[in-house]
Amino acid sequence: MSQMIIANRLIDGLVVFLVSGGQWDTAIAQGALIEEDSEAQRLLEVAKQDQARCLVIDPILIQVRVENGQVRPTEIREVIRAFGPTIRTDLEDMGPAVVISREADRRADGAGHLRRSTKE
Amino acid sequence: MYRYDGFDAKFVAERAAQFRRQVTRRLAGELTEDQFRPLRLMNGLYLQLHAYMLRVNVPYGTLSSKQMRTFAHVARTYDKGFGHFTTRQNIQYNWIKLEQAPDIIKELANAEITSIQSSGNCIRNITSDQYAGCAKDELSDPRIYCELLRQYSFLHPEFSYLPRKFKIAVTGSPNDRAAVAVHDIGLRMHRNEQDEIGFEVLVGGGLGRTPYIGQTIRNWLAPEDLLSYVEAILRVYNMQGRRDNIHKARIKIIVNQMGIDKYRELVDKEWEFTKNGALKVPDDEIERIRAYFAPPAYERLQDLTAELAVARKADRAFDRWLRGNVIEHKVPGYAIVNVSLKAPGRVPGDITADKMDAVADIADKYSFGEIRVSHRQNLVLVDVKQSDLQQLWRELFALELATPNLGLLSDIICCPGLDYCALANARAIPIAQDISHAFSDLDELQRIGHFTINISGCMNACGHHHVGHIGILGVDKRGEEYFQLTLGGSSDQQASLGDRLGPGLPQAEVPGAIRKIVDTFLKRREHEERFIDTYRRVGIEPFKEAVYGSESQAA
Amino acid sequence: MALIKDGKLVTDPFVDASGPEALPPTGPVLVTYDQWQAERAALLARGTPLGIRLHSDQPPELIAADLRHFALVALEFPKFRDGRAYSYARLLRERYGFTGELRAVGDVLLEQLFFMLRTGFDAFDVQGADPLGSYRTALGDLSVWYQPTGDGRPTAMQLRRKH
Repeated sequence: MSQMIIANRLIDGLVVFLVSGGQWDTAIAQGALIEEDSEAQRLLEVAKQDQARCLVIDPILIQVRVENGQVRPTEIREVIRAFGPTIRTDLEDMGPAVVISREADRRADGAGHLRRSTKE
Repeated sequence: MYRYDGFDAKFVAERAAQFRRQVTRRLAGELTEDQFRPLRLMNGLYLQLHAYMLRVNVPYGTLSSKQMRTFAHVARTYDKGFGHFTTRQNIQYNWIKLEQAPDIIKELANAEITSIQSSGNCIRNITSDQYAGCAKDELSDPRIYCELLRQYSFLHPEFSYLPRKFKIAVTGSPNDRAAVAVHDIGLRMHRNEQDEIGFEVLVGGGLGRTPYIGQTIRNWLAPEDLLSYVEAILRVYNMQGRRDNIHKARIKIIVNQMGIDKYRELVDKEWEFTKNGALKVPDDEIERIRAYFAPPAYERLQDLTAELAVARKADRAFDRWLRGNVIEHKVPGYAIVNVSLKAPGRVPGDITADKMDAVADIADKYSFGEIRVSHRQNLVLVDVKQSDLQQLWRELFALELATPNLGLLSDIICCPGLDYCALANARAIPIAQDISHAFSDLDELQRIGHFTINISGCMNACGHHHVGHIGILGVDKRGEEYFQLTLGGSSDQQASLGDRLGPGLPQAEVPGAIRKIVDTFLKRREHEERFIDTYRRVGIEPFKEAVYGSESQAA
Repeated sequence: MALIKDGKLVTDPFVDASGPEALPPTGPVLVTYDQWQAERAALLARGTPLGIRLHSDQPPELIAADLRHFALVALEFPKFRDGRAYSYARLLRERYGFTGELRAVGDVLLEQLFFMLRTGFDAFDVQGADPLGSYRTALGDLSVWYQPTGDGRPTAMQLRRKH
């Protein structure tokens, strides 16, 4: 199990992950995997400075695991933050479905439960 | 409906400009998040799981077609093409960017729409009966008083930092469609012994962690005293409400702690000072507002029930819809049409931008350009000619807005839950989708009859689970999502809070549990009674046994 | 901390004597309610303007009978979200007829300025880089209000009826 730092970006509220190099990216696949606790604390401090600099809000450490090369948080809440709402688009009678997209999905790094339809 | 005059327009324009400045200061780092948070909340802007969420007021659930088109425009331009109607007759957008929020608020202001005080520890949207002005059982249009209260509450300098949020609902009908008994202040219009119309005032109702049914603080209040009396209630609350614990800060806590008699005493003492002052509402002000709610240009028409009966015999689907979603209007020849946002498997209350535009066009064509929002997350067209019903139905059907399930089991109230909301413990929407998909047989739904299922993803109870015939509450059990069921809640004039059925169930077991409850009900039902009546008659044990088996675990 | 009174930056003539140190021998002082209760005679004997500072759980009822003794009443906002002082201010002005300086102290944000002015405050103990500039900006924010308070500003309802 590894850790990662997640936050919301101030300017648009989008979920972002701290990457090595100190930037923030909306794709969890880009997030820096942290193995050591001391490194986790150090990076959290870096993240908090970014909060003070009005880049992000509420950076926290989350647990993630890597399965089949894909990074996935262990908590359902963080899965939803990483990959978007899990509402079903596969039920009968659905008809035209709503387009729900996240920048993360476009990078083909794991859409989780999400299915998309472009009909409307 | 109410139209802004110069004062109202200036009010919202100034507020929009002030908010723009506050956002600029925040982005420039001149305000910390702690300082900025209450300011953005006062404009209905939350930070949720995925982005900012903007909650926009639909005052007492009344919208013009132009405003609906503005909602569609916002959804399309600034969001992901859809919006969500809530249990307080508001609309929410889930994917808002802070840097665009000032532009959105300005555009809304231009359409006479605001998000002011849709959040924060202040007076929230005043909600009401979605059939106001048109219902046969109505004494008087409650929206006049909602509008009076709305203006009174906006940026009230004394009450913008209350201990906690404050929700007011008003009903003009003895059949309470506005859930007034579970609001901080509930107002029920009725006649006194002198046959004058006034308000029964309820105080201290509310859902959430510690639900309460409101208690009567005053049996009859004259309309001219509405503002001064509400001010007295608020002042006592502002000064004495708890501020040590946000879970114990609502007015319901202090009313129940000191007792309604003591609270009334304090309010009456305060009211002595306010009752004959500047807050007394002059008759001409009430009449000025009433003029905005004057009935539209109804034609003199015959009642067409007999003619419709013929059409209904010929078309089963039309018959079902008419029976299910269409309500009698007080004016002959007209009808109230419910537009269902609860198609099986869909997200309750959600609607796409394109469908919003379509509903706006339909409202223009069939209902004097006005739309209502129900706290049950459906829309309403209140002034439809009976002669237009069949054609209207066809148009709604094509848009998937004609599911004839109003008040039936699949007409579910559902909060956004963990899929969107930072406060949630569990997801609510997939549960609603599963249940409505499992119960999509229209004949069965009609046979089961009136049934409300309300789903909340956490104890904040935005899904009103306490007052559902079945309430479903998402809880976190050791990191897993579990669902606690309650039975026997009701939000109408016989309001009651649901009783806990048993330990929480995992997501996969919830639709099956609902099925067992329904089967038990159908076995025990007498004379086509509603589920709630059966429940009140036989109690919880048969249902407990059905769901948990005869070795029910201790509660 | 800067004191803004009647729209100007002023030096505070009152010494805050609510701390543990002994009262200065002369001059205007600001004391707590507890101090007022304990040392009333001595404080009155000073013969200089007296200020009293109320905590957010001390309603003005406590000093209503003594208001003539105070040139200044300071109401605390321990956190900006504690809005009790807005009610206290209105009661002091509108019910008890206090005409001295009504000062907002504590977590005073200029974003709440308008609420404070309308409820009766006329002095503000504020922080920040350009308090007077922010004050003037905030003052220009809003010109339409719906609710009557004791400040005499006409409400929209009153203005509409004039037409």
